[in-house]
Amino acid sequence: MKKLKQIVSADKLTISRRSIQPSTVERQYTELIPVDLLIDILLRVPSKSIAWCRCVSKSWANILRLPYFTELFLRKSLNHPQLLFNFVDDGKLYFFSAPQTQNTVAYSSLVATSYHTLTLKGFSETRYLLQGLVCFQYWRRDYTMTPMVCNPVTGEFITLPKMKATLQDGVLYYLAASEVDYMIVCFNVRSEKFSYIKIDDESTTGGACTLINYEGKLGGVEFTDIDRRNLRLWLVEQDHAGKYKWSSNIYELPLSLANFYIVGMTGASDIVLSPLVYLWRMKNMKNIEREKPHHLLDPFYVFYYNVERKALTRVEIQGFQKFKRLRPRVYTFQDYLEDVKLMECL
Amino acid sequence: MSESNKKISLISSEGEAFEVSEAVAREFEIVAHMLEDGCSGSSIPITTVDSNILGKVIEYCTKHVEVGNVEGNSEKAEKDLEEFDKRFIAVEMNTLFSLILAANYLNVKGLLNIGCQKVADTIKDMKPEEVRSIFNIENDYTPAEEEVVRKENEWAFQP
Repeated sequence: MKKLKQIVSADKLTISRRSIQPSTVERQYTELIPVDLLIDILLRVPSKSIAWCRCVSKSWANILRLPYFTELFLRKSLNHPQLLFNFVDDGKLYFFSAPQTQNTVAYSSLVATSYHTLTLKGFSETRYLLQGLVCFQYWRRDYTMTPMVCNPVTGEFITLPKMKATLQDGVLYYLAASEVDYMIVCFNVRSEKFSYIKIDDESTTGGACTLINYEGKLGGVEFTDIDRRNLRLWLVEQDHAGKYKWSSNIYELPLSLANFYIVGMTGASDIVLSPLVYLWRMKNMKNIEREKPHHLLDPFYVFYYNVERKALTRVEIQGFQKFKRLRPRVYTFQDYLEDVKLMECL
Repeated sequence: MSESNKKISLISSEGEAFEVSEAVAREFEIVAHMLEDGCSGSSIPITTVDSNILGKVIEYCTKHVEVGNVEGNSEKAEKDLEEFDKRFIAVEMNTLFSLILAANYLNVKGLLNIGCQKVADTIKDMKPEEVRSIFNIENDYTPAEEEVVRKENEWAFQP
């Protein structure tokens, strides 16, 4: 912490390059590289290289820890949202990312970037993604549950002391069920007040529905059939009198996506669909399996369904071969931002 | 004599004069500001940049001014400029750092951008030792400290 303060206060800090070696006469430019230039350079390297650069020297490690640097890095990654894949197998949490398809770019095949692997003795369930941090629940062997947060890029993980109101500005929405019906609970983080939106019985089957934000409107996406071929998108809007109005639309997919689940909806109006597990297809079952919908589970695909163009796009994600035989549970998240901030600095 | 034909002399750290058009000199934002502040002199000393590097920066700015003046066929021009930038910045490390420092001092944004990008592209797949040698940085970790920090960042060393 002391080191950090020193650097922050030393505004004009420079990193000195070593003095000229006699053997390299043309090395005249051993001037000082200002920190702002070094930051400009380091903001352009991938997060993996940031880890390497921490090993270069103490002064580099300190620069990479500066809030000024980590904030800029996060802001820069806003332009390149990623999909985050989390495989859970035998007490190990594996993390990968791949670029998320955006309006202007569509991919057919991508190679995933791998991050840290966490080893936990016990069982865990991944719950949420908050920009660059993954929140999960972890059960020890004695069945005590602990909420934890980890950063796949830095590999740090911390135990949350207690669930406190540490969320971002705005309103948090989640689905809740009472004995008779389903509702959306709205929790305004600023005022810490709850309100409820009763779900219109006609518009949803309730339950297995993913809440989304579609052009600023609150809504949900769910499969309407067991074959997972029809998607229902419903939206809720408040009229002038403050009454909630519901609307819904059904979209038929060109193929059945059994064993896939709805991750969410991107800012580009794409519904993201991911496999629930990474299934290994046995060779001698090939012919039987081909008829079944889960042939789409190998290779590993992510689907994007664009509700405006009514188009389904398939993107193959490579780099998960080692999980083939393990059949691990897959947790996929959209809009992942690489965050190189170390939690020890918080 | 029209404004665009006006010549300005830029003087390097060795005292060598480089005569350029005002449009090219204005690509150096620091010079543009001096001109706007009413500095009417026709020779401007650039004391921190030597002739070799100043010549290169002028070459970069001249090309960009030329291409900017060509009307029509902008797609081809843009591609040409991209090619030019790529060739221009393919220099050895010391020259690259000198160009970045000069571009930073003279405030030539385009050059600074391609320079920083080139360094980032060069170091992104390098081991810490190689980065140290490129930046000429002394390793101030003790062996024990280095072992700890390497262990923490071990995941990134795996393919």
